[in-house]
Amino acid sequence: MFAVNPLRPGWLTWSESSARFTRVILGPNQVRHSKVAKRRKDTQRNLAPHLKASHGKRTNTQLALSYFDDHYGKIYGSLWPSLRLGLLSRTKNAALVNNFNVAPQVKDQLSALGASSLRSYLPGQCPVRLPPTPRRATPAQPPPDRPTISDPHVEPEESREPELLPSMPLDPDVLYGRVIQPQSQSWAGHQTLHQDDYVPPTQLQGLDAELEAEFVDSQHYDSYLSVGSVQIEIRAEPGPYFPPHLDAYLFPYSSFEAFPAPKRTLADTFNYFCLDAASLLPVVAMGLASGDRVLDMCAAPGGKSLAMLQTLLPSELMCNDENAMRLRRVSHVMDMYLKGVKEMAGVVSYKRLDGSLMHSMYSNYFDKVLCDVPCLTDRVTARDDHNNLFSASNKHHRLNLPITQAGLLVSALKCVKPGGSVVYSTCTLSPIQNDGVVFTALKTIWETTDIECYVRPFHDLMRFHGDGRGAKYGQLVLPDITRNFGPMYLARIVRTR
Amino acid sequence: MIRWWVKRGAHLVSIQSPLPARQVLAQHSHQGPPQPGLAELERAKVKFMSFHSPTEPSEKIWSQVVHLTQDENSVMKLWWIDVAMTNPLLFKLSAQKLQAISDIFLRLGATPREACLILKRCPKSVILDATTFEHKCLEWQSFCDQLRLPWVDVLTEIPVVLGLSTDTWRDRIADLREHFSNSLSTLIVESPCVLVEDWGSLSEKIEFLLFTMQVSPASISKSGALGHDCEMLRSRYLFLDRSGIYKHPSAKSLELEDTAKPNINLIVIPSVPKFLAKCTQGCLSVEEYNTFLSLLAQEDMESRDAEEQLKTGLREYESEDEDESH
Repeated sequence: MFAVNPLRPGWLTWSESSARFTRVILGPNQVRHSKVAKRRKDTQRNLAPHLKASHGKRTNTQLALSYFDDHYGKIYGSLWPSLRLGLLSRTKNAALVNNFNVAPQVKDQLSALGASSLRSYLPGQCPVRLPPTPRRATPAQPPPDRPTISDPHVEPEESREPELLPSMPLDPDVLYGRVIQPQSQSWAGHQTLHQDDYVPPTQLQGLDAELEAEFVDSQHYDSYLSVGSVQIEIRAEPGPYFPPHLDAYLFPYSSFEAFPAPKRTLADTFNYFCLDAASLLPVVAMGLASGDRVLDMCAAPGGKSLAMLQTLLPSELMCNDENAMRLRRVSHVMDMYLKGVKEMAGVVSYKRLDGSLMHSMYSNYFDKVLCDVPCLTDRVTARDDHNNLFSASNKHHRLNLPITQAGLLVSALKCVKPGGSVVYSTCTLSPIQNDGVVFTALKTIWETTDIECYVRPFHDLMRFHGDGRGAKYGQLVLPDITRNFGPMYLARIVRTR
Repeated sequence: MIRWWVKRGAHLVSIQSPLPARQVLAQHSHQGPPQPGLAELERAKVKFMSFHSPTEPSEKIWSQVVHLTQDENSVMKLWWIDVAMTNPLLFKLSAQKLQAISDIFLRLGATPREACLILKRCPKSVILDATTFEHKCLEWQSFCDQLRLPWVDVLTEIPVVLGLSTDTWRDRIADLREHFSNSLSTLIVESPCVLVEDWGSLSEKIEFLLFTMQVSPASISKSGALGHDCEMLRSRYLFLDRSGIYKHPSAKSLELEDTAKPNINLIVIPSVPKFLAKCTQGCLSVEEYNTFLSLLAQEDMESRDAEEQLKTGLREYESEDEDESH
């Protein structure tokens, strides 16, 4: 006798008599579920051959893009399609000239390729101060590919009186001002989402499982819009100026030519280093001075550290990275570009420390700190499936990024001497990881320490997108297919006490 | 019904005997220009010679044109000048033959203007002899009747179709029916080139539109997208897709909307500024589009180079392998 499984008709069942599995013949009214599904698929194929019958699992890049569309679309509005196109297109690289090589020859080679020096973009003798304007500005302004960079020789930074923008200086005597109200305890504003808070189902409806999981995270973006109520001192000061020895070459506007691979020369060092042109900006924004003691808190892969050394200004550069592999990469880059240079022998040092704990060892030690934190790396996340931050295994790491970043910035502010400055930079468009983190870190500093600092914008360094939504405390380089740099956010915080 | 039969009868008579056709043509004559005067012809000649260098062949062509326009029986009159302007090579055929060919179109029910449009695009190689050509035209007409197509309209777009065999038409229809069973006639009316285009490139376009862009067959038929270059479709799609404007349809929302957005007829607008205005609502500029095209061309070139390098490497590897085995 056949023992028919009533729950799954039509499948193989165990026959006790023959002691083996036997296929059960279905009755006239019995239809296998698979057949029904197949029929449904066939019907769909006939009705709409252009639609996929089944949905495959979404890739990490697809998840990332849908996340960006959902969140960045709200923030950047009509700019977002242009930004997205830029993100998914090839980056425009710059060739950073290695000053420890035979520099004039390298420059000639790069010029012969059709690239022009970043210095050639200097607009005459007088530094031009441009107000922060939206990227799609009036056509009468200088060509957008030409960054307006101040001339270092005209007016030194110290000779100008710092101009105070309307702000609310935090008076330490007013203790109440330093108390963080519970309702303002969020990453970037005074709204927060508690697990018991009511969320209307309409906000969740239509979102797929992954987006639903991201919903709590997305609240940061909404709360970011109300940052303005908390006052952070912002002082607009002239400079920083383009370091005289730093030089990089760029291909002209709308050109997508790539630089040939760097070559090792007779001096056994490579002639130039290719990197996103926007990556030079944090180095310029640091305003390095001769004899500065500098810390690159998250140094890997080493491009910015190398750019700092190309200025020939720091007397000491500490390259730190928590990951041993990544730190080895930094030292490898330095070897490739500085090998055998005696002057650099005692300048560069490597540390493998947790950046957020560095202040316990190097408190008030450095003149300048670059805090180029790990972030969402929008360009990579949107294009590369491998080791993507939107993969399930990296989810926890991704959601904790703002906390990690704020921790690193707080530590950086503690490591820098009074009078020194910290440049915080990311390569993401996410406001929570940019202004949100600056806000949180400063808040933490005011709450827990006596350190005083102010935020300093760089309006005269370059024309940026700065309509107040993208970047309030720093500046944001937006990618654009015609001049595809960035994204890059940078904020400079000066420590006064 | 009676009217239908009358129509049919008149039609058949007009095919069988040339005389009633002339009477029909007389009715049509008001649509065409009157017999040209000498001054008018002189003006036309100057215009013609300005287009085509005044060489011996041009003079011969012009004499043919004059002969045809002066023919008392001809209904086309000045339309011949129009034909000569755009398709002068056709006039290498004798005037009698051309007259016979135009008469065939008029007998089948085309107006002189429509006949002119057909002849403007008709290559010389399609016209063999009048009898065969008439037979071919009749076949075309019945073929179009079966598919409920306006035979003249389609023929004015692709007169070259008369150079193909009937079997070729039928095969092409069978191929197209696989994808466009419900909207075949619309497809042919909107993009008549589907009947004559090389099947390889056409199927590439169809597959790209259906399976990559996920446009519904009905939308493809209505938009005339198959009349455009595949490269243009691909570049515009990638531009919109990368900027996040292009939305693929979802099988889940089959009942609500089963086609992609923006609509394909907006994507294939020939003018780039209009295409950007309609599809992107001004979010992206012409400059960005042009830069994207150059970038895409560069990417394609690089991927081709990489493929070639890979193939060369594989070949070398295989040859080395063979050498070792020997």
